[in-house]
Amino acid sequence: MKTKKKILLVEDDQPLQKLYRIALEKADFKVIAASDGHEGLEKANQEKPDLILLDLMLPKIGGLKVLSLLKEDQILKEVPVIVFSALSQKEIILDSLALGAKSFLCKSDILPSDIIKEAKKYLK
Amino acid sequence: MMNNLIQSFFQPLFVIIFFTIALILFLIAIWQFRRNFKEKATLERLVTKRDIEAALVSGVADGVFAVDTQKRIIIFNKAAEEMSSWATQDALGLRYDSILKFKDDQDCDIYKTDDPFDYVWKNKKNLIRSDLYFINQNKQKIQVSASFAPLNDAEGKLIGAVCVFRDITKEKEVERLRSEFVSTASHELRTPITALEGYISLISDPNICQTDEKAQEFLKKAHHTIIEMSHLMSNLLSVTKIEEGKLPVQRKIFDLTELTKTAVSELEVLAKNKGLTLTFNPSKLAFPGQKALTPILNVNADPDQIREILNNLIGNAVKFTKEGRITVSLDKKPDFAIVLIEDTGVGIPPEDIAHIFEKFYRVDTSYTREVGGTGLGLYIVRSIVELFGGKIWLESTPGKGSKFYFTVPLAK
Repeated sequence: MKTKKKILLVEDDQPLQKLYRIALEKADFKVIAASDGHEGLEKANQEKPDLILLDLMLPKIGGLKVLSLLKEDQILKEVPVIVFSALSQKEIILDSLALGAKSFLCKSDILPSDIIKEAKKYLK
Repeated sequence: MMNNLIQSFFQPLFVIIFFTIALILFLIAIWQFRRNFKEKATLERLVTKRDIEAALVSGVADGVFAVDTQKRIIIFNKAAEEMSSWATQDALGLRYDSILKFKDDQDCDIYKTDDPFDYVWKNKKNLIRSDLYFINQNKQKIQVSASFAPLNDAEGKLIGAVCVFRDITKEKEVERLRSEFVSTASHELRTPITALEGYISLISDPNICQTDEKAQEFLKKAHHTIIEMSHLMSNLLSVTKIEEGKLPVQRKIFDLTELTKTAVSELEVLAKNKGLTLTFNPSKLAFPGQKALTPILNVNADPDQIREILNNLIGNAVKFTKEGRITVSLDKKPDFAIVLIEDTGVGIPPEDIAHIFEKFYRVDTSYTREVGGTGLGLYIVRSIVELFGGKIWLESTPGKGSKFYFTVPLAK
């Protein structure tokens, strides 16, 4: 049996976290969830996920900081990161991409199915 | 006899001389008295004028200080004392930048890099800056709006400069809180809307949930409402940004024909779903006798914002047209390009045309109530068009359709 791809979902809003978890599990991914930046980094280290979905407005450590720390790590820097946020100012999008995010999704413009589509792009 | 004669001769002369002398003395006395009086009055006037000036300077609620040509403080009023927490007697004679170290909002020490007094002396004109702050003796940050002006004496010789500054710390704080509120509200409100939308899409997905037809119908209605709500949210945000002058605008030169073509092709699906035809017609630009190639139409504006306008106007045309067609065409004038969006829709009653671009204005008919809207779209469109120096107007016949025109300045 093929092992399921592991996705780390870092999202502080609980209803949204649950929503994306349901959608991703339905699409046959293994989901590990974290609710703040600190927990996100910890779980990334423990679980070595295949993909990280990262919100930007996070408690404790902000999403952009998490992203730059991930990219400094020798092993984790190879893991593709998709940033998704309610903040959609140009500068924030450009900052995330400059820091090494694969893509940027604006939360209010996407449905769970869009996240799955985007995730599948980087998990072939 | 002889004595009497002499006496009678001299007496009137004596009297005359006596009186003349008395008169002269009297006149001298009056003249002296008047001179004294005048001098005293002038002196009094001078003193009063000086007092009034001093009282004025010290009584003004704004901080006022003046410097000589060496930037040493020569006047320092009460409000300046309060804001800086320096006493006037201590401040007088010191260089102004040892007391008020003005910095700009980039934390740059402007007294080192571009001193406002040097500026007013060099350019011989006043300077107003609202981006300055200084830290006072009590370690408080005071944000100020300050005006600087050169000082000349009666002969026009430069003797120094004056600065009038006002504490705007509170205003700045209100501005910061407002924009913080808007960004928090947008984040906090968008997140639950996204969650709602996502859950509804999960329930509607037959692979995930079993629902009957009735439930599907209600879900569709709920979904529609949520989409409207999220539009309202993003429209309100745009309005706030426009009104604060904070709409991110990146002007550049781009081809309007290409942009319009892309916008039309991406909205074709939307029109098709309603059974409408949406076509792009750039041929008005073709020269007579030439084949209608798609001509290049270089304009100067922000392509993202112009795209927003096109999406909005074409979207409206689709929304308010039950059957028929929507045509988008371009025209070129010496200084600007004209975009025309024409539909065969419900049209706009004449009494509403004048108000259609106002904030929250909605044409109230059973049809508009049915399709819904926020009353903000056209207000945003007009604001963006005007931001780039363009105009927007419309022609409409109820029941037949509407024509919306807007202009974009050509690249020079």
